[in-house]
Amino acid sequence: MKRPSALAVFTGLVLLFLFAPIIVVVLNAFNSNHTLDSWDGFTGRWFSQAFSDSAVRSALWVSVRVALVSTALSLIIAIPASLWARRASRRARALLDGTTYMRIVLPEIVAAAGLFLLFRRINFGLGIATIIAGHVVFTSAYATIIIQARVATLSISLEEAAADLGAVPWRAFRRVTLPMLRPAVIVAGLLVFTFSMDDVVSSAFLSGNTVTLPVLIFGLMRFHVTPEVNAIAAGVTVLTLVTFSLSAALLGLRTGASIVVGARPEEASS
Amino acid sequence: MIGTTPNRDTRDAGTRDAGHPSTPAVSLQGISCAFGATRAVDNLDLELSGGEFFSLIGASGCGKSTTLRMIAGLQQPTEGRIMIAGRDVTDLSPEKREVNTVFQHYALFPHLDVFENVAFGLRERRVAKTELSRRVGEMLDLVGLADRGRSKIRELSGGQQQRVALGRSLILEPAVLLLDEPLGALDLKLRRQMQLVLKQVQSRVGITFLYVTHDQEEAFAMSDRVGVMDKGVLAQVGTPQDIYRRPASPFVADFVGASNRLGATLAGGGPDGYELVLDADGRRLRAPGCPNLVQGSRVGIIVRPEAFRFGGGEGNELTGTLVDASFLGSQTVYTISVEQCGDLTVAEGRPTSPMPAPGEQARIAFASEDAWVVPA
Repeated sequence: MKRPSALAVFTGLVLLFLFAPIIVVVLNAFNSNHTLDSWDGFTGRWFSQAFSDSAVRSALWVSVRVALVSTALSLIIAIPASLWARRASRRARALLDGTTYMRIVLPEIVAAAGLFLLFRRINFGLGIATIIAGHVVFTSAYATIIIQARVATLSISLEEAAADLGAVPWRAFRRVTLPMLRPAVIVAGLLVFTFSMDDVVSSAFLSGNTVTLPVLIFGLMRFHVTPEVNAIAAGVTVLTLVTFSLSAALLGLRTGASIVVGARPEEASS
Repeated sequence: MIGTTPNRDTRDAGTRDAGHPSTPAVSLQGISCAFGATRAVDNLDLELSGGEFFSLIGASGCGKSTTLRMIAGLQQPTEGRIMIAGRDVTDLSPEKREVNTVFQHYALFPHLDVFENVAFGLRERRVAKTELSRRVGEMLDLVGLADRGRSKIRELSGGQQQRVALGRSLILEPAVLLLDEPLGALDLKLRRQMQLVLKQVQSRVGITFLYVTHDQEEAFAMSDRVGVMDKGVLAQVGTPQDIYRRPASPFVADFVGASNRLGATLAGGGPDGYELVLDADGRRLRAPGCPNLVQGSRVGIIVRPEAFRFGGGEGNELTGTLVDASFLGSQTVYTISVEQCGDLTVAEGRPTSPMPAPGEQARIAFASEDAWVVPA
């Protein structure tokens, strides 16, 4: 048998280090031992227990709604910003890039605390709306960066051709620009959706009495890790994986690079 | 000029005046375009008549593409008016102009197939489904892509992509079709082939073509008239024969093909026959030339390489040393160094007498009527 190379062994160890916690979580979600000290056999009880819990269900529903609206808002901000940046002056462009990167580099807790104080000052009630505001601050920045990368590869002459053939600006956007951006928009949407789904920091500051799923899990874990928490985590993991695989298959994405640039492999050659 | 328009769709005939002889398809009235301090196009006037194939030629950066973009509406002129089919369109955005463009790199929509690329403009006009597929089908026939309707753009060769770009624009039956170096990306053989296709399609549809290229041969091969641009102004407008045989300036003479310029002084006469004193040996000769040349001024006598004959004899004879001979297939190009005239280029298609070898003396001659006098 051929001996594996050092690089292969190292890669294997890194992957193990990354995925072992997830594997443990998923396995324990099926562990019938309540204290999780040892493996006592297989059960699906924790799943039914977790998802019949109304607090978990309502938290999940809040998280999904927050993530959907945050994703939509992020794209509505990111797409025009990316298209505008292309035609903007050098200084305006620098300003946009600056504010984009600032929102990513700035520690989330600073932005969250700032928003919290702002909403308190203007007496704006905390709830779903404020959680969404907190998320969109940084998720829209990630979406902008991904979509901008794709816009940079587009030739402006495609839009000129659309206008030349009689398309008013809105129609040219609908029929040419947006379809060309589609892969990047979907990738940005998925990424932003998951960021919003598992965010704890902003949600904890801005939720008031509303509870999102990560905040709920965080609260449950403060006492001890229960099998229900594992079941919830496993469920969310599976949901995320399925969504990602489906959209990757739909887009024909095969490599990590193509996800970043948002290009289909066959398009890159043309 | 093409007067008949057998294939033109009658539906639009009433709404367009471009075919009417008195209304120019395009009229540029003193248009300029400045980028900062540089004037890419400077006070340009030009009229194209309906059904005409007109080429703008010039070196890169001479303003020919900018002129095209201003007509298309993709570039705003800083001065002047643009009329299309008798209508002032200067302030209209591109989608509202009765003009379509074949872009340099085609700018085809990669996410749409051939059929949908060609149908793009018709869908914007909300043309009914059955009529749309009929007209797209006819257009694909015309450009020779009838069986490629469902092909993806990236599956097509360069020449086929070029035809899609052509069909996509032609199907809208514009008052004028703008073509921005459409053959620039093709190899030589395909270029020649596509020149024929373009010329045939143009005479069939009878639409005015405004063609931009840096290749004078291409322009001459296809055009009814040619405009030579230099530094944002039109140096000369005329038929290809006019431009080649009767250039208005040394620049035009050089740009439209290799030419020899002999220095001379104008002693008298008129455009039909100027009296000239050749710098080289003080001999006097008569040759036609540009109008309005001033007596006593320095001029250049343009003699095309193919106007020279070896062996002297009748005409104006010059003697020099053969420096180089390059065999190019259809002709051989000789470089002959003549004292006080510099290096002259002589092209010989089928030499009849034995040719001198490099280093030997060569006698060449040109007929006065083959020469042309331009300002120095």
